[in-house]
Amino acid sequence: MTDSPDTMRWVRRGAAIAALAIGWLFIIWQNHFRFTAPTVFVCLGHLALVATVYNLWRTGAAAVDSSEEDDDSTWAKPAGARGELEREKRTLLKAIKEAEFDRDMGKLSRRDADDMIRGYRARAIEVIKEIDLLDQGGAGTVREQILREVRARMQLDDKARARPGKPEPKLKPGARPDAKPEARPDAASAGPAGERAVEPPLAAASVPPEPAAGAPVRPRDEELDADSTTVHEPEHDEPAKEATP
Amino acid sequence: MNNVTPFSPISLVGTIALLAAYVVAAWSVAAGIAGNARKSGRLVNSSVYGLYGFAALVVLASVMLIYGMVTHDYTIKYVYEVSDTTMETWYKVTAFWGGLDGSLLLWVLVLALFSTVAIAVNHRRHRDMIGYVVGTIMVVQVFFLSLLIFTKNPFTPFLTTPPIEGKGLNPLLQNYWMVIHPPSLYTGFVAATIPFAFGIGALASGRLDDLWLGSVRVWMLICFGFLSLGLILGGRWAYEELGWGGYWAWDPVENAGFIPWFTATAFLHSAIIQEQRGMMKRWNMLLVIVTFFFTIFGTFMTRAGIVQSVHAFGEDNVLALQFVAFLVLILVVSIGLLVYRSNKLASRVQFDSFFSREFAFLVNNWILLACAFVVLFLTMLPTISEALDGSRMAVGVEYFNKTMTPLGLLLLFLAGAAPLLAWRKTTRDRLHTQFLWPAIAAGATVLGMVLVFPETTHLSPIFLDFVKLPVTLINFGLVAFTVASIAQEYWRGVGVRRRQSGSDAMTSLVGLVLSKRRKYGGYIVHLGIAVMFWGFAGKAYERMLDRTIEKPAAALAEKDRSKARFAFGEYEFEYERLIHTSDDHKDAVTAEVSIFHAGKKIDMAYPAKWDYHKGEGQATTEVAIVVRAGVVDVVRGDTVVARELGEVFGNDVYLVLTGYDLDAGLANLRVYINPHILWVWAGIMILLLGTLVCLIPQTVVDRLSRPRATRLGRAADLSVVIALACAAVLGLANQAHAAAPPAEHAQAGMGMGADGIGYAAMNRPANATQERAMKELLCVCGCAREDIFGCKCGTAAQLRRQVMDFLARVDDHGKPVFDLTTQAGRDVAYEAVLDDFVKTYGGEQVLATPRTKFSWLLPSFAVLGGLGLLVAVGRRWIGRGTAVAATPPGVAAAVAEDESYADKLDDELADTD
Repeated sequence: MTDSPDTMRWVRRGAAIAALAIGWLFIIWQNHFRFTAPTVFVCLGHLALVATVYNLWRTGAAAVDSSEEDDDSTWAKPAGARGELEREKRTLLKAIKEAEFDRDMGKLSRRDADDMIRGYRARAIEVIKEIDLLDQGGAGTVREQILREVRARMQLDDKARARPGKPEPKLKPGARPDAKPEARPDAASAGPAGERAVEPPLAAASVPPEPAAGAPVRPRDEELDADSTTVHEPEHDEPAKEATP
Repeated sequence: MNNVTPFSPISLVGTIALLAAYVVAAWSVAAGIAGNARKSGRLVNSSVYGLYGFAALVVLASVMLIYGMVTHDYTIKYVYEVSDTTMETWYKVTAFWGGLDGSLLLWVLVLALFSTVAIAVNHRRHRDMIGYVVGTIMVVQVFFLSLLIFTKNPFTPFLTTPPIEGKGLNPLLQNYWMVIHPPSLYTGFVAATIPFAFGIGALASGRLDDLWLGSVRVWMLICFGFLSLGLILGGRWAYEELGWGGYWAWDPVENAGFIPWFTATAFLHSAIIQEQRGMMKRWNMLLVIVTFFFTIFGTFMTRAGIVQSVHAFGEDNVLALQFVAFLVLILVVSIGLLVYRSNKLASRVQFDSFFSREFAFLVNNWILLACAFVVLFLTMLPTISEALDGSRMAVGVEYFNKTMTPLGLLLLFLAGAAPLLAWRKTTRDRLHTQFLWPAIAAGATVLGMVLVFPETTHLSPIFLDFVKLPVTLINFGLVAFTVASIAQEYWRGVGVRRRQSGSDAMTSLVGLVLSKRRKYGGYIVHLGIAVMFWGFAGKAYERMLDRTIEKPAAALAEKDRSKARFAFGEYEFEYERLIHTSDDHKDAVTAEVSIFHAGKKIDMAYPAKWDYHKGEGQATTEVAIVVRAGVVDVVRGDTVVARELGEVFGNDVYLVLTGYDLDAGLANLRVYINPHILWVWAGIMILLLGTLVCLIPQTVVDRLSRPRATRLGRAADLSVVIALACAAVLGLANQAHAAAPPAEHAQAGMGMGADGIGYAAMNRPANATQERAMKELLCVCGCAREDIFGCKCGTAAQLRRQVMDFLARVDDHGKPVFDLTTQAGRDVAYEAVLDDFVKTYGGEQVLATPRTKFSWLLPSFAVLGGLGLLVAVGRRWIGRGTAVAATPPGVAAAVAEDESYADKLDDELADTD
């Protein structure tokens, strides 16, 4: 017999069950095998006693068991980054299905539903890409993870700086609202319309666009990678609204 | 001489178990919090095992106490106080929570068992916050355990020679509703601790993503389900046991359970907004905290005796102080953490339209919160007024009804309207499509009611006496609206599902409910609420009659038998005989009454009055309830001769023996005809079914979704689920309609004095003004806020006489002082009699509706001001949202989707149900 944790666990459980069974037999024997209310409650009391001893033993053992110590990383993200992304993906998939369902039930107009679904799809694709990246070992070093985090935060900053009330760009006459437009790399740039899109997809983020004239200069990925600790911030800290045309 | 020093091994073991539990709880608190803070797995694990050990120790202590009861160990004071040797074994077991000490131990026990399950399920999932969660739960346990050990130890033994016989359980508690009502209500209370602990764990650890919300939502749903069950069981107990013909009297103890019910319901709705839109994170956390706070506050109200109630425990200042300290601790720590983590909980609140589901949920949240605070305020008003100026105000049932009815109707409307709205916004043409059929259903119902039952147009006051609306008619219309709305949702949902899956209607229905069980389970809950409101509306048409019959039919000659008969409504009653029996526990006097309908005998009823030998002369009453709904028996003699369809909407014929004279054969009977009351019990069953549907775990759905080799296999799986759900609901329904229990009660203070002849029939009102005044004046016999119109005691009879005499006063010329022929004269008379009572009895405690503006101004401002605030803030949020959401169509799609990922997404969507 080895002393592996699994073996010891089963030994402990076996001992507890044996103590329980022997105790119950003794109690019933003492009561001449008659099942009265007091007998039942004494049996329950014995069960509680065995459970107490068993769990208090585990309480003490766990407190001094050094093998139970974890490194910090397991505390930061218990479900793991992948788990978080999977959960977000599931939520988005359900949101898309829900919007489709509401549309089919006549609760949402086709136009509203398509707008909502488009936003959810963009984010869902972004999440799937992240998952793929992790599956391919693309999580990379801590530095790479930090760089991704910095990029993501910058995107959020862009959104936060977007000011409502600016004149909206006009649609081309006759353009269908739900039509799938052509790929326009500049649409996801720092311009106000692109920023107000429901969620800027990762595809746009991964193809760094040329900044619009006067827009705050965003560091490129390679610039970020070049420095392990600092991020090239624009020299002036002008808000985005003043820089946009 | 007996000088034996009492020694109880049970007391010793129980006390040791409690002390050990205290030490283990303290260790778990320290290990859990320190382990999480230091990221030490071994300390956290130790705290988790400590929690399991704690639960085992509490079970041991509880078992010891029950063992003491069943073995008649009267060396333990508590056992002596709540049990005796003649009680049935079942009641000896339930005597465990028959007193304050035991009920506190029950709290600790239920929380220990619940937390064991919650931690075992979530230990791995929430690994990085579980130490804080355990720590929080165990802090709550330490508090209650400290009350048990230092103040209310149920194992305290007699220090001198113990008595040889116990005092026995309060007769009020010796019935089966009391067996299941307290544990279910406690479970509801305790279940609120688990979400609170997870909320605190999330705040303390900073893990404030949506993961915690999922776990919290499930436990809050369990809390909601058990609170609903506990409240309605309490209502059923009151209906069957207290003999006043009603089921809800806004008693402080009932309110203590109702207040957290409101906030838990608010959370369940706003949590959906967070899940769908990522908004309202702080608000949700606040609701979790508030719900838990109210469960402790409710316990404080009823345990520390700060409010008067028919079933509150006595006043205890030491206990009150301890509770206040704990409540302050809860507020300081939880709100402090909430403020500390406020940035992490920040979310962009953005509404696109007032006509969106999220805004409907927001309004629903506001109304539920308003309900909680209005009930809290009115419940505490007597205590607050006493603290402010020394006079104790009273708030009667009618005042609660006036205040809460409009709020309830608004909630009912939202229960029907919110499912019709889409997320983000519902455009005008969609609104028309969605609301058309429910509105037609509501309109048709209102029209039908006006034509067929014109009495439904009767105006009732809301908030204030001069604001009157046809509340019952509105209620019926809104019920129809909600039912039609839910039916439409199911109908259209099944249609869409059928188109998507190509399966038949039944399969589509089951698939729809299982795949979107929270949504469609929630709709079932709404349906249950609507059905309950149908039942509530019947209360407006309750009728009551008191009748004294001097001789039973059995003692009369055949030609005089009509003297023992009386008619009431569509029924006739014949008082057959009075039966006196006696056993070891009690003397029982039972009246045998035959009930006739359309000339045919339909049933026999046996209202009774029991006088327990123990319980300090407390007499109890056993009501007889004959349900006239569905298929009812037609009885001749003692045999059923036919069966016929009862009332369409159901009536309860409810008889109470309010007094008797055994020697003369006189009986005083009170009869209530309660329309629709059946729907209240049916509604709660539907509500519970909906809650169960919401709680179906994903694993069960996955198992059902897994393709089976044969149709038979699939059918078998489905049958098991349906059978389990039906069994659960029917089992509860059976409980709700079971025959009257063998022991019934009304407090001596409620008019069931042991002096034989009842007072209920004395001095009944002769005109509407008298009746109105009697319903507004509270009895001063200590019967817990019953008005003198309904109270059955001698004091109430005297007060009724006083009202009648006052209104019949004449001046020196022999002319009546009050002109009761005009409305103005009746109003003057009504006010005058109230003034006279206030003057005579030295304060407004005799009034059901407090006159102080303070009492109605504050709730009114809270409700209306809050609603105004909501609209104002909503406009701002919507303005913000409009600007952001005003992206022209097509701009969102300005970026082409990556083809390969779009295909992948489509594949995943195809696999998503």
